[in-house]
This record gives sequence, structure tokens and C-alpha cells, in this order.
Amino acid sequence: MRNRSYLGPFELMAMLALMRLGDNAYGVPIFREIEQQCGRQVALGSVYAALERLEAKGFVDSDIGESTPERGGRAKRYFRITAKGLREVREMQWALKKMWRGLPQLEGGAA
Amino acid sequence: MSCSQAPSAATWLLKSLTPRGKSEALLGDLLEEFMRGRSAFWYWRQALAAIIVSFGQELGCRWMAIGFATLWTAVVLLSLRHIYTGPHIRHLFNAVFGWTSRFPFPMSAVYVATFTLSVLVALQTMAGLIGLGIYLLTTRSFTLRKLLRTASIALVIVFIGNIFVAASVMFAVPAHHIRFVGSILESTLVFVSLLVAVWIPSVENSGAKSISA
Repeated sequence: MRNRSYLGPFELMAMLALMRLGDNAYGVPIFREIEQQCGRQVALGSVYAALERLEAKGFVDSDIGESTPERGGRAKRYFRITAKGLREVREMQWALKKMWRGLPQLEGGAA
Repeated sequence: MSCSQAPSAATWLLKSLTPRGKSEALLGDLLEEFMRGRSAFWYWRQALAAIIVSFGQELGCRWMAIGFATLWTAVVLLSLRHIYTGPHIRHLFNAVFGWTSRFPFPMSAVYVATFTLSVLVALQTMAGLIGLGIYLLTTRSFTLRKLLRTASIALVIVFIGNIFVAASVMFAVPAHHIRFVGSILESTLVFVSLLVAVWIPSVENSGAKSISA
């Protein structure tokens, strides 16, 4: 078995949000996507912290984009998933599917 | 709603307490959301959460600096205790105390305090210098300039801190607690001086890296 660093739940959510957003993935849309899809409040600082961890692992890349007046002249930081990151998400999906399969507690809807 | 209505104190805190270069995009995002109708309370909560998260990240990244400061503080305090109780330093102190007793009070007390403080600062700085050298070699970032820089930061903190410690022990601590409080203050001082000495250059480096990135 190869030595690998697993994604945490929040890191996985951030990766999935990046995949859903495509080219428009900077702080605000990522933050909104996680809030809307997961139905819970998150901190923008935590989103950045997760993305920086993912960048350090090589799963995510970032670029500085344009600045707008509504941002007080501050530039956006765009994130995108790397090939390594996409492979990691696929492996995670495969592993989770296998783990979920055949659990009677999770079958039949509400507990 | 104008830009200036975003809580400027929260913006200032976030800019000041997070590494340079890391907070820019985050501040832009916060302002963008604020302009779209989020409340000042939301802005404050997000800014404070970002500061806490950033501080946690910094602690995680600087575990080596914290570990070094803790370990070397113990080494310095044990070595200094050994030196203080050794016969050579006792002879030296007895000779100096004998010499100063020829002067009238308060000059004798001033000479004794100055001498004791100088010996303490010199010993702590020497021990700190050795430790900082080992730390820089271990982290593969040793240069003479860095060693002198970290050592001078430690020296300034140790010097000012020892004056503060001496004044607190003499004027604010009851006689039967002097030994206990003195050793706590001395440990804290050595720990803080070592931690700040290795922390400031590494924060500056990480700031420079994130800006160049």
C-alpha cells in the first residue's frame, strides 16, 4: 500500500467546490458553494486554510487575478484542481463508496 | 454602501495579525461579500475567525521554533543553576560584594545590581547564542548574519526583561515568594526571548515567500 496523505472532510468539500465552479473558483464563490451545498455556515478563513493545505500537498494550484473596486482594489486569488488532486478525489470517492456499501445502518433513509 | 463602511478596525486587525501577502485576497473577499449586503457583525466574525485560523496555522508551521524554545529554555536554566551554585561564580560574587561594601548605600546596591544583572545577561546571551546556532544549523538556515540578528533580538529581550524581572522581584514580590516567582519569570523570559528570536525571521521569510509566489 502506498504512503499517501488523505483528504479531510472539509478539504474534500473544498476540492468538490472547485470542480463544480471551474474557472470562476476564487474565495467568495467557493465559500458560497460550500455553504449552499452543505447547508452550514463556514468561515472564509477556514476555506483559505484548507485550500493552502491542499496547495502545499500539490492537489490545488492558485493564481492572482484581477482586482475590482468593490473589493477595495484587492486582487482575487483563483484556485484550480491539479491532475494529482483530481486523481486523489477519484481515489477518495472509490474508497468511500466501498466503505459505505453494505452498511445496514445507512440503508432505508432516516435513522 | 461604500467601502469605508466596512469595519475598519476588523480590517486593520486582520491585516496586522496575519502574515503579509496572505490576507490580501481574503480581505478582498470579505469586502466583496460585505458590499453585497452582509452585516458588520458577519464581517467582524469572519475577520476574527480568519485571525484564529491563521494563528493555528502559524503554530503548526512553527512547531520546531516552539519545541526548540521549550527544550533550550530547560537546558539554559539547568546549566545556569549549575553555574550559579558552582564555587568559581561564588568566589567571584563574594569578591565583588566585598569590594562594593566599601561604598556607601545606595551606590553599593547599585554596583551589586549592575554586576549581577550583567553576569546574568551575559550568561543567558551566551547560552542563547549556542542554542540559536544549533537551531539555525538544524533548520539548515545558518549564516553568520542570521545568527547575529537572532542573537541581537534575544539580547535586547533578555536585557530589558531582566531589568523588569529584577524590579518586580525587588519591589512587588513578597520575600518568601522571591525564589519561586523569580524562577518562573526567568524561565518565561528565556523562553520568550528564544521564541521571538527564531519566530520573527521565519515569519518574515514566509511573508516574503507568499509575496513572491
